[in-house]
Amino acid sequence: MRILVCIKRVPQAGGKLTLTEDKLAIDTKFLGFTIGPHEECAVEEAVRLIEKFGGSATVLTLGHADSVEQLQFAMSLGVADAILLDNNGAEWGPISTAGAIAMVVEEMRSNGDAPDLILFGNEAPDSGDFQVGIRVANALDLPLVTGVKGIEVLDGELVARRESGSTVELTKVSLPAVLTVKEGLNLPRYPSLPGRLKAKSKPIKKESPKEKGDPTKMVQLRLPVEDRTGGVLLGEGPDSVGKIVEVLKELGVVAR
Amino acid sequence: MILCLVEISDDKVVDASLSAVSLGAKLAGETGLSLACVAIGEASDSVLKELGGFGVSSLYLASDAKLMPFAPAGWAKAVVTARDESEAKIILGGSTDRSTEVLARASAKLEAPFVANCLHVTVASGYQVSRLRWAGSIIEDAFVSDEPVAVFSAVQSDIAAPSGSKETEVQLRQLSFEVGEAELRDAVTEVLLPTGDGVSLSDSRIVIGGGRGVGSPEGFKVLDELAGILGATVGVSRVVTGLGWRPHKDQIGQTGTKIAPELYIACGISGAIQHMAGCRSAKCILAINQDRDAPIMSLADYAVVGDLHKILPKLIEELNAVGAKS
Repeated sequence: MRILVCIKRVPQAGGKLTLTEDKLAIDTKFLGFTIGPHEECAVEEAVRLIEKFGGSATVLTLGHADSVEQLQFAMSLGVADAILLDNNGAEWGPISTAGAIAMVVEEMRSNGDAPDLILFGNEAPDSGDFQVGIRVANALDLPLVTGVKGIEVLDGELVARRESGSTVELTKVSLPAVLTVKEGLNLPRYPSLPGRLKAKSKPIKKESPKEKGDPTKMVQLRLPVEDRTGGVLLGEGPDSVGKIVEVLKELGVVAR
Repeated sequence: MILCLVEISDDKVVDASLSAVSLGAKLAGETGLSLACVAIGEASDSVLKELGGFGVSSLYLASDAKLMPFAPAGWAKAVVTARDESEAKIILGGSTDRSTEVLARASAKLEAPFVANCLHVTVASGYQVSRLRWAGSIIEDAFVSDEPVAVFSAVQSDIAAPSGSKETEVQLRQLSFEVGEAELRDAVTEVLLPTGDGVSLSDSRIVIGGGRGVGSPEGFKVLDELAGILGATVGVSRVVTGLGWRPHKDQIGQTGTKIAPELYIACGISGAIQHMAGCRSAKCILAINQDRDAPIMSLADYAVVGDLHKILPKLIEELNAVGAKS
């Protein structure tokens, strides 16, 4: 099985986000970088499928050259090689991003190396556009399932499981196909030390992608106004239990 | 024309779709364009009346049984066909998983921009939008240049017909298009009904959350016990599912379940933005944490500093002494 898994380098956001002075980005001075939880599961699933069926997985990203860190993370888990579409870290919209990824797949196809499965996270944690995988599937005319939380492959067919309200939906598609996955698909492994060492010598193919152009332009970012005034300190330690019970009574959670 | 994708469930338009219809009605008022809707399935008189309350002039309906329960490529074709017939310039929808996917597929087919999770859209030689990034931890103000067609999904919001809008008689227009292999190759093939193990996290009136501070899988016993007394459901932070202490279905947050209970008791949870994105809609948050500087302590309505393993057992004791829950 030949798998392409697409990831995005994003700031490792924690307690509170701050913005840069021009308000066009998150201030990452004190932040590390990572990939989103959905994408961690996409990488893990790619590795599991390769372990089960043989073949190889390639990881792809579009972004700054520093994204090598995230590509190597994926390779440390068992992905064979990587493609870096280096756009110098420019903020590309979903139309341009999907266009560049589709071109890579077209190139793989013409080299006789077409992927059977292309995996994305359901949405990027930062931009939350919910569409890059969908646009890639459309450009390549491939079947697509979004929000996938379970995958079973049998004889060139794939059954994808996703949740819809309280029900579970199964979709059977033939391969090749595009899936966008959600966290909960699997429990990703941690990279091993040998895995991390091996990743450093795995090949990364660097390309300069062409920007199609998106009609959407960011004007500014801002932090939402917190409508929670918050901050009544009830007390410290077990002595505060009386106060907690009072609050529970006040809220009608416990009978007065 | 403005075209709004609506989902119909149990003979009603779902709330997420009505949020989009509200936005559509507002834009129709500002631009003088008329407002139409598109839906898949059946639409009763009460659905038409509901939409008429927002000034909707017509409903394009695709009723081919093969499109049910969910054939996303077919649904997208319904949107594209309705847009061709109505010559709509703006396409809207709710922010459910289904509407998001269908709008994204339709916009790809139409080679149109799709802007997801919009709080506001204003028409101004193009479009000014405010939208959610980081699941609402950041808001982006953006400009979309004037396009032949532009597609937006609306964040769920208060639903109201704009004042002064007239109730209209909604014309039903049946869509007819071929539903073939291309529309059905990635359609849902089977629906499994829930096994029915109690109230889901998203529907719970009271939720008790546990984070890294719980310390171990066994540490959750005390949370489970308190949940039993209060009739609450236990949820967890991402650290807990990442460690394999509890299954992912228990996770509250940006990539887990979004909750909206009357009361959320967060125990040993620091309050990372990804977690807060999942519990922001709680009416009241009570945080118990050893670290008084943890972000959740200033975000919560009530905070208690201390070890949850000392506080919760005493709380359980006290509640048992007080007796019955409400």
